[in-house]
Amino acid sequence: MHPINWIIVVAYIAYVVFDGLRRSKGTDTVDGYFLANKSLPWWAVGLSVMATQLSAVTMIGTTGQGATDGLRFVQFYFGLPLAMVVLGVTLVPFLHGAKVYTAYEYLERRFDPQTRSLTSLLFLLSRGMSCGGIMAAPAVVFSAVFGWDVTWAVALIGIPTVLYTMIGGVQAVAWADVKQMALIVLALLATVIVLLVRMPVGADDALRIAGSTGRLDVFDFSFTLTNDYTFWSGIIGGTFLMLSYFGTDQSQVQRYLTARSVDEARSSLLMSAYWKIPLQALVLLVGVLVFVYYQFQTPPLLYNPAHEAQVRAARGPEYEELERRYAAAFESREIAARTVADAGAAAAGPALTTFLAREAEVGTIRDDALAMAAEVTGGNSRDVNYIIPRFVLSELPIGLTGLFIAGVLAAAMSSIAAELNSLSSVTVIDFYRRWIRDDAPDAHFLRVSKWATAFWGLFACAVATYAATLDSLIVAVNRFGSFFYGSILGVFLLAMARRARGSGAFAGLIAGMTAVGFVAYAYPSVSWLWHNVIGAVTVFVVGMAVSAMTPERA
Amino acid sequence: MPTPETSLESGRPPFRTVLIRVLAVQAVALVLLWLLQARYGG
Repeated sequence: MHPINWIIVVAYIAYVVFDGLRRSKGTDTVDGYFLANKSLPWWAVGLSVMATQLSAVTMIGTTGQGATDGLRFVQFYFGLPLAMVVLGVTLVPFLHGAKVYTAYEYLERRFDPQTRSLTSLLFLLSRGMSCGGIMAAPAVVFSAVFGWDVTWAVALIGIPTVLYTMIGGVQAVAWADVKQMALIVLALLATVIVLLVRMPVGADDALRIAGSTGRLDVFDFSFTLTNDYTFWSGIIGGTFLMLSYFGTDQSQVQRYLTARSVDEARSSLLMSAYWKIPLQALVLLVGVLVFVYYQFQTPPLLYNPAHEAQVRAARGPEYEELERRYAAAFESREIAARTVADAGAAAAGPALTTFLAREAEVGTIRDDALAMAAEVTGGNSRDVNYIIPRFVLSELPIGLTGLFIAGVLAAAMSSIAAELNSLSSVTVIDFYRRWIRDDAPDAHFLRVSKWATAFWGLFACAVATYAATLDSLIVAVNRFGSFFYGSILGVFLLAMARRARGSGAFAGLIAGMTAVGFVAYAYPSVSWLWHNVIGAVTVFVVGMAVSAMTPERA
Repeated sequence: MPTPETSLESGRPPFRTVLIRVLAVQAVALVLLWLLQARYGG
């Protein structure tokens, strides 16, 4: 990468750490460290909420998904706006008004200590692991693309994030998120503009080429439990997932607990309700445009440079033969794509048929190369996560490459920082202060909170380093949380039902997790989005039934 | 317990209005995506 790009990346990291240290001035109490003294304006909280949800996986994985699969992933977010509005009138006033540090603290007031401890333990387990997964995904890509040892890639992302989160607390996290969100949107918009300017065909022709391959097919109305991305799984499963994530996950709840008032907390969530779907469509559109761009510019046969080098070393002549076939197929496809563009909308029919045939040929050769990579490396050869990084490094102008890489780092850091801060708050408030020591001065808890942040940071780095060497572990880590989300939402739904009791909530939680575990084991083809619905409904039904059978305490 | 009719804040639009606004903006976004699919879709 050009030195100017590196300067941009390093300057960005230095600025985030410096700003975090500067923000630490207002965080000399636990209230300041975890809640920013409830002083943040709604727009800062809103951007922080969005930045937390947008991780590096979105910047490199989702854009890559746009390039290979098109826009249909956006259906995943169809339930989000409704979930945000529902949360605005249900959980947000409960939690903000309850004057709590964590969402789970409220559960003890409503039910009992066991329910609080079990839900917070589930949060620590799932989020502690997923924090490592969030760090591992970009670290693996950076390590392959830049040829670094994965430990260094983890350190580049992890150390600055742990530093500013540990010292500056939630205030540093939220204000860093604001800048990071701006950087991410700027990088995405600039990339779209560059793509449109550099494309040898107009936007209309580019969209026609993308559309002919199905990449602009957004809606799938089929009702099937086994497909992850359909209109119905997005609307129903997605609503439950978003209710769980934004309503009961401390990494999100803590964002809006820092807002000045209930109303500002609601407004911050509404920002996501308005902007999430357009933003996600923009992210996917970057990928779609990269796909069209590569119709006119030869893309690598394998996007993962580490795999490419291994395959070249192990089966050089065979790979070179594939490359020759790939170059010829690419040339035919490029001619076909230009014919589609020249034919115009009215006469593009036959030209499109030829183009799709050439596209299929290119796809077959790519599949052969991926199969070869899988044989040589003995692992997963999917290279979706490498499409955008390779494009950014080889095709974007100097400066914008640095901006995009800084944007990927920003996306990773904003998500990790929020996770670390929330993990620390649950460790200290729900465990240390609740079960170990409740009578210490505020300064003691502040000190413990900072060490807890450092501990979770190191834990995440360790998980990331280990996970990076094991593809399947990243998948497992990411799926781990989805086992609990729906069940935890069910407990919070019970908390709002007047007749629910602690015994019901605890039994319901166990039943919900058992039900999700059973479905995941017995019916593995059922999409994980439906796990949230199953978990939440089971907890609520079992919780209400057990509560009805439990005599009211005097 | 707040009900769906609870005002977001005195002087602020009530829940139903906010819900309609959010759903209207989403409907516009979905219609635009639908038009994109209808015009260019495979």
